[in-house]
Amino acid sequence: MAGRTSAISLAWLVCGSVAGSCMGAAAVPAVPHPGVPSAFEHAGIVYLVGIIISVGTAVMIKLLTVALRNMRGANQEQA
Amino acid sequence: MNTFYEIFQGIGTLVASDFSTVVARLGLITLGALLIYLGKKGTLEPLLMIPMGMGMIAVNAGVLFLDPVSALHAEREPVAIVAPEDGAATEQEARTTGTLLIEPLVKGNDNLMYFMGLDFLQPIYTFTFSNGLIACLVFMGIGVLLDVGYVLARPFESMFLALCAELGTIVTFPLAVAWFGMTYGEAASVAMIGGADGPMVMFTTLKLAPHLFVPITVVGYLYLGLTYGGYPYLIRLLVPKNIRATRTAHTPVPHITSGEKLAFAVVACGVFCLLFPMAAPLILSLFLGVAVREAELTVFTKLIEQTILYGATLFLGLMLGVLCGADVIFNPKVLPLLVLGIIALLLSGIGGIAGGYVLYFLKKRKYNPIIGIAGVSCVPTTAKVAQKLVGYEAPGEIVLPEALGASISGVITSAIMCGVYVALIPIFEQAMK
Repeated sequence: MAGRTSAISLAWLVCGSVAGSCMGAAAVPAVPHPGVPSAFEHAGIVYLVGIIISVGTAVMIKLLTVALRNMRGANQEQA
Repeated sequence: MNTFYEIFQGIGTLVASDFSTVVARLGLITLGALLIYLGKKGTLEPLLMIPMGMGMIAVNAGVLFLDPVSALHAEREPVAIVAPEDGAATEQEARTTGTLLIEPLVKGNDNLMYFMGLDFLQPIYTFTFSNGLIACLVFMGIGVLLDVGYVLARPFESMFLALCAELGTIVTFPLAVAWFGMTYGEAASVAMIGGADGPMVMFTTLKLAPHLFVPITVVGYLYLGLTYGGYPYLIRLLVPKNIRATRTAHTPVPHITSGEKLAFAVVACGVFCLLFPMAAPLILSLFLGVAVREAELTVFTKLIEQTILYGATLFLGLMLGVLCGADVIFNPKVLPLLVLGIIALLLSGIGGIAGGYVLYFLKKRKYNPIIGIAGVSCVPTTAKVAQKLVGYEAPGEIVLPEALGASISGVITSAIMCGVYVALIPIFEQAMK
């Protein structure tokens, strides 16, 4: 059963890749002219910035909760 | 006969209009009735669909011949010709049609002031809709509803799913440029539909493509209403039945105090506003809602949740409905928007489920990949979809905390993407000149 599941997942990944490639090929005209970044490259930049900020947010949350928990622990010890 | 049409002008304008306008008006009246039916049935979100359907019916049925002064202020080309009995219409008899509900495309302060005194929804449109205030009020209400506890307890897992579910927000942007020759601002605005957050779509469009504000907002909200009904099919298509029944290994979640949640809201609001001042109204509204909830300001919480959120939702739905006039259908940009909107939401759904699969394999098949769909924001709809489908395949299984964590992170990542687009698009456009 696990093998069948993996095969289905793999099939979906392959289908997704093929579909993505087709869409990418169809979008080739998005390149305005040589030397100028394409809309795809700009989208990549947007996603990269989004990822950096989102991961930064996750790190910030982790640090914040750890810091607050340590402060609470210290206060309880003092009390 | 002309007297009859003058008395019953809704019918008179139908008779006087060209065939395509008649079909569009009747079609939209039918669509409005369908939305109400599907809202009542629970297939679509009733809070939005019922006022929207009513608005659509009213705006397409209640069309009248504008008097010469109103026609002058509307600055429209005559669209209807009342033919005299002998059948020969003259230039003077060409008349402009309109409604007493709203004039969204009116230009100039004088004309705007004229219609503010004439159309009953014009003040609401001008003072709350076209400046993004209603988006901020809805966001404030969403903030009050959000329990950020799970996001704080499992930030990386929730953020990962939300980032995967931004696939549509990113990929639709270049597709819109490549396929339909849209400008960067237009492409980014329609791509935000993939974030599945109505207020964010409205806000981005206002900033980057204000001329497409009406069609993008209408298309965006129509599709967001479909997520509840449509995503279960996508899940069934992408996740085999036996995997849908996977029971997630629930590890104990550390207790997060309201003080910690409040501190998060304060820090996140400050940091995001610092990074994206252009999106500060939305960011402030969202985290103000979270702060009010976590500071346990019961009076404000009730005010925002019961009055502001529901009031804003009612007028949002009504406004979207009355903006669905026949002229919207004839906007040549609407068809591409319909195509791109569905692609954006589809890709985001696929991205979310792909993220769920990654966690499924990382956690050695002890994580239900359906939870990934909740990364597509749309709080709390997608989380409810995930819980409903998981509960159906694995009775008794509760994944709502994980799903809500992903969904809330989806709101945060959508706000981040909105901020990134609003900040970067003008820079890209400048660099390309």
